[in-house]
Amino acid sequence: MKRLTLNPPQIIMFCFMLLLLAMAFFIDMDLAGILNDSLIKWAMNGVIVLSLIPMINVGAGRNFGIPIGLSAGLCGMIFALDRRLTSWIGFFSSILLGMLVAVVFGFLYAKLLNRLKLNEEIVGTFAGYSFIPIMNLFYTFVPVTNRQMLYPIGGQGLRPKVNLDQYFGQILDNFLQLRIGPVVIPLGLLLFFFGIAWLIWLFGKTRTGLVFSAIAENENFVRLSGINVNFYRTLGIILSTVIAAIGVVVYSQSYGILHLYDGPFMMSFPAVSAIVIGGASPKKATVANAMIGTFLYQTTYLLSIPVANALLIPEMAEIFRTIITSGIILYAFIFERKPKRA
Amino acid sequence: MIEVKGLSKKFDSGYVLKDIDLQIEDGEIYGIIGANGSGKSTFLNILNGKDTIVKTGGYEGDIFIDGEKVRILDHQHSVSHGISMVHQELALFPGMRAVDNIKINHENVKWELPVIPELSRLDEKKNLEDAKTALERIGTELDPVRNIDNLSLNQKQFVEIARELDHQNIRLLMLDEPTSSLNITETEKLLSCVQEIASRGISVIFVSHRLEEIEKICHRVSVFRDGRLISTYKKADFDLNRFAEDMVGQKIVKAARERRQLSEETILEYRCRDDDGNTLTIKKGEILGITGLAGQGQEQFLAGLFGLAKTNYTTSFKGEMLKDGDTHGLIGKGIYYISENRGVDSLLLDSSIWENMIFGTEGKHQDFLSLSRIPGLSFLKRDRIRSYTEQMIEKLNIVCADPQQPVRELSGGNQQKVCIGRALTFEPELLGIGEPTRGIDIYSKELILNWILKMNQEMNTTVVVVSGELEELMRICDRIAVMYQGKIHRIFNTGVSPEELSLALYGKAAS
Repeated sequence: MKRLTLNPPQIIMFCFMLLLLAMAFFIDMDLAGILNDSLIKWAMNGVIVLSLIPMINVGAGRNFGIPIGLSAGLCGMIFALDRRLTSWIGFFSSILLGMLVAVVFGFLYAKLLNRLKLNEEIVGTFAGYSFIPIMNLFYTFVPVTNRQMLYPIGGQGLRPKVNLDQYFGQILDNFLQLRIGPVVIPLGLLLFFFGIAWLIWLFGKTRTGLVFSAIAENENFVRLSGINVNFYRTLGIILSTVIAAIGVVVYSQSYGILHLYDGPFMMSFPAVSAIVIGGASPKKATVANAMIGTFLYQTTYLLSIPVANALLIPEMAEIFRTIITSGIILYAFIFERKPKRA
Repeated sequence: MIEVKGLSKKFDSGYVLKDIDLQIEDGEIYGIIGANGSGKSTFLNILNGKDTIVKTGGYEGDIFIDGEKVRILDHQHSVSHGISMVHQELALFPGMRAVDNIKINHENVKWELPVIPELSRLDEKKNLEDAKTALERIGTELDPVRNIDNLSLNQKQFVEIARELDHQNIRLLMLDEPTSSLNITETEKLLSCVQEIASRGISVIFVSHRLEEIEKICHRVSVFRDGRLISTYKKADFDLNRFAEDMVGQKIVKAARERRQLSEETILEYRCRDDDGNTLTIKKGEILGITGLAGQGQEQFLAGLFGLAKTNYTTSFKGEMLKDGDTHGLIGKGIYYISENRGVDSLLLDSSIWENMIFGTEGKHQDFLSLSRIPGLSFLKRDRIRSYTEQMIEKLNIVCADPQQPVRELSGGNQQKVCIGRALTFEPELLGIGEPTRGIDIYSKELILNWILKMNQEMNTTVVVVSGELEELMRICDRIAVMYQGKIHRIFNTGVSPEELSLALYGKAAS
């Protein structure tokens, strides 16, 4: 086992969180409520953050093109809702359909990234951003018959937000809830999250997982060992896209709303920040990195809004959050090029 | 007169230059020869104040110019003492005119701005005059306003020499392989230019791999070997065979491989794309050495086949054409290659010994996988791998803490042993190794050479060793191919004399 070490980003974030907690305590906030919310936020964002792992480990960088995977998940949900599939059937068929779409998207995305090696992160950012308008066109023209999903006037094109209450809103959140006094633990949601995390961890132990991490470390070595590097990179990128698709379904059921159009627009930075805070390096991310990072990031975010609103001017929280999100990514870039040991 | 006394240079791994004493008279052309790694470049780099010397703790010993002791602290310093150097790889600015390249960093200005002299206005006319004079001095009528990109190679070389000569106080001109990329007439021109420069009282250090040039223009020659100055000859005593003897050294050849009957079966055949009949055939079960001076194209064969270098040769394996860079196919056919840049190409430095030992070998070792039916999703049998790795560590005598230790923490010799262990795990039919003993201590060297012999004898692995270590090649190889100017120059059988071999390196035959 590799020793788990705390790096400056984690320490800074942890201190920041403690500070916010202390402030929250002084302004008499409902701490149990915060804990409940933070658990839900953790798991609902967690799967999306987990989706970064395969791509980082195969050496294709932190997936700034995450909107591609998210769009695939959204497609899955559109197809499921259009068939009026509700409850568990709706949830799982959304995931399944989303995964299918994600395989196709992931394959194309991998083709692009394999052609533009070494620039994956910047290419991913642009690919992700430019993918959103393409999907917007799709949302406008997709022949959906479920009127609840269409614009009320005109009856053409999907609404930006579709309420999931009648379908599978909060289905995981409410599954197997465990109440201990004022604290509610969303056991079902957490189990689903841990389950995915466990599968990813398990995958890392397989032969393919070993090839992945070797590619990230030294592509030449892997190539000289007679292994088709691009094949494995494609695999890793598809895997990331597929997990992102699952992630957005989990996210949407918690959120209770299917958020189309610009929904996935600003989701890559928080996800990447979270995994970086969790201690992931540009070429090596573990499940623990993703889980710790998401918890720290989401809880800090959750705390900062009410605290900042109470203590500072309103809207301050958003400013802080942006500073932290972008700052942590910047920090990660600064320390990316460590001097090689002679 | 330039004199060095006790000049030494030590890197972390030990001395690469030790106690060099020599004097160069004014106007003398002084030749330096030696095999790869003999310390020639280090010697030039010290005098030139290169970063590779300065930033690694400087040099030991003294340098005297006209009897005055000077200490060369950096490149600027070296220039201010009138020492300049023309590099083997041209150091010119593309896209600029010859005059700009010649006058760069010591331009004439109309009037110098105070505080920010960098912004002074250039005196174009004077610069052109200077450049023209410098070019004329070396006997070329090159127009200094021509763009560097449009010049031929030797013209570029002349521009570079002119640039160095333009330094007003030049005392010593050092030429490192100046003719390596020139043809015969160009070479002639350059050589007479060097003689012309020397006749003006400037001392010249001339390093070349072409002995005939050395013979022709040098007044004295020193032979370097293993960082030491072995011998110095005056013009009257020049003798190619003695040069060669000194370069290789009269080491007693130990454990010389018995001469044996080679199999007739060809396993690998290289054919030059130029279609001039230049071929190299490798027989099944032999150990073939490929050698040559630096940059003579030795890397074309195996590194080229594995897509790490450009190659001018096509390859066929048992009669079947191979595709360069198709590593999957090559490994599948049983060809494995350990690159000369072990840490860069052939090891996962940050991974453990066991990961390095077994990575990618599942095709040969299904027993490492718990679910051999679905190899992609199979887990690894840690116990089996651990015991296998422990066996290999013991067999190869790898000094380490345990199989979990990252390879980066091992010494160079032990890293190479891990590479050998990896090769053993692949069980290749043909093994290629680049510089198997580079940067490795004497004890581990023997171990590694013995393993190469052992693999060859016990597993009947055909081995191709690309190395500059002549003495080692003579010990372990059945045949040695010598490269010269990108082509196979000669192929020797065992029992070749060191003199013959080292003359072949210079493209010559023994008289």
